[in-house]
Amino acid sequence: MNARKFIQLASCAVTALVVTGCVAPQDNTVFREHPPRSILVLPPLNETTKVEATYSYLSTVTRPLAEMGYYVFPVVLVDELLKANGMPTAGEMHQVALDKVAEITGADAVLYVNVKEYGTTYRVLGSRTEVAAEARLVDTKTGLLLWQGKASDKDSSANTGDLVANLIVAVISQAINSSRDAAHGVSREVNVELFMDEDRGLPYGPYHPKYGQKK
Amino acid sequence: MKRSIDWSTTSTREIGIVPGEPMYRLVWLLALIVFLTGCTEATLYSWGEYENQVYRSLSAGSKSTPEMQVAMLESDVRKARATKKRLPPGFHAHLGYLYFQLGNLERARQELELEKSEFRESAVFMDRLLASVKKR
Repeated sequence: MNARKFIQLASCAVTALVVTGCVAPQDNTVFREHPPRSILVLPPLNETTKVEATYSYLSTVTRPLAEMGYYVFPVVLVDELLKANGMPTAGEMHQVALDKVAEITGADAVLYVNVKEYGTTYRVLGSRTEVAAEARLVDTKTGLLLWQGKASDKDSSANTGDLVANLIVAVISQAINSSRDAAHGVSREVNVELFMDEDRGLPYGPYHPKYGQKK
Repeated sequence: MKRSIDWSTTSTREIGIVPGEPMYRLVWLLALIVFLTGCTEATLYSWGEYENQVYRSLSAGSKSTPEMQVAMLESDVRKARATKKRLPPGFHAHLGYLYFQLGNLERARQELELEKSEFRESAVFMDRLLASVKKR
């Protein structure tokens, strides 16, 4: 084997390692040692300039977590509880003492979400909506990190220069935009990727028929 | 001359559906609609309007009142009963909270109790809320 061929082979092997390394399922050892039944979702920390991001995103988190088999505390009541206890903003809520949360609500785990991108950029030809978020699930008894993940999604509605297609696109995006903002819809997609992904999503919770299986 | 199309071997390109053309987009759109409606598959819970009502509760400047939200959620209760599906975690607690806001403490108490019996994980929180409802 000459040197050139060796380098080729070696780089091939490195590429293979990198590629397979990227899709490796995450290590859920700590999670399995402290499997939560219930999750309390704190209002997300907003790292964007869109004020609505925190509460718009918050309202889309319950469903994927519940469908994964967890009890999810009612987000509006949790928000009111924290506000009534002197925490008016998500920033302050994220500093809440875990033992206090466990004592008042009985939650097994707390989910901290950071919204990194949120909103729609309008251009002459169509628009682009982008949402990105990171999440950490922390055990309330030990403070251990049980799981973490991040996801993002984009939705472009382009002006295609074709009359009929544009009419269809316009009708659909108006229908969506009239009931809620576009980024709200994209947030749902982000959550599916974030929590329900086969490899990097959450393991199944106790209300899911596949509870205890794989992951 | 009459030509019949053999559908088993005809590609979309041969019948005039070319990527980038309106017909092509229309086919994809129809496929997407079929796919999305087919996706009302097996969920664990009957979600109905719950998420939208939560969004309205949380949105600043929402025109939706607690009365309107209660009406929507009560209709969800009937739908869930008809399809024999469970309502999602937090649903009854949220409905109870709306009744509390409207001053209907009896219905508030009932819904908080329901949340507790449906999901035992909620017991600590629900007991705390029930205690404060009783104090009123």
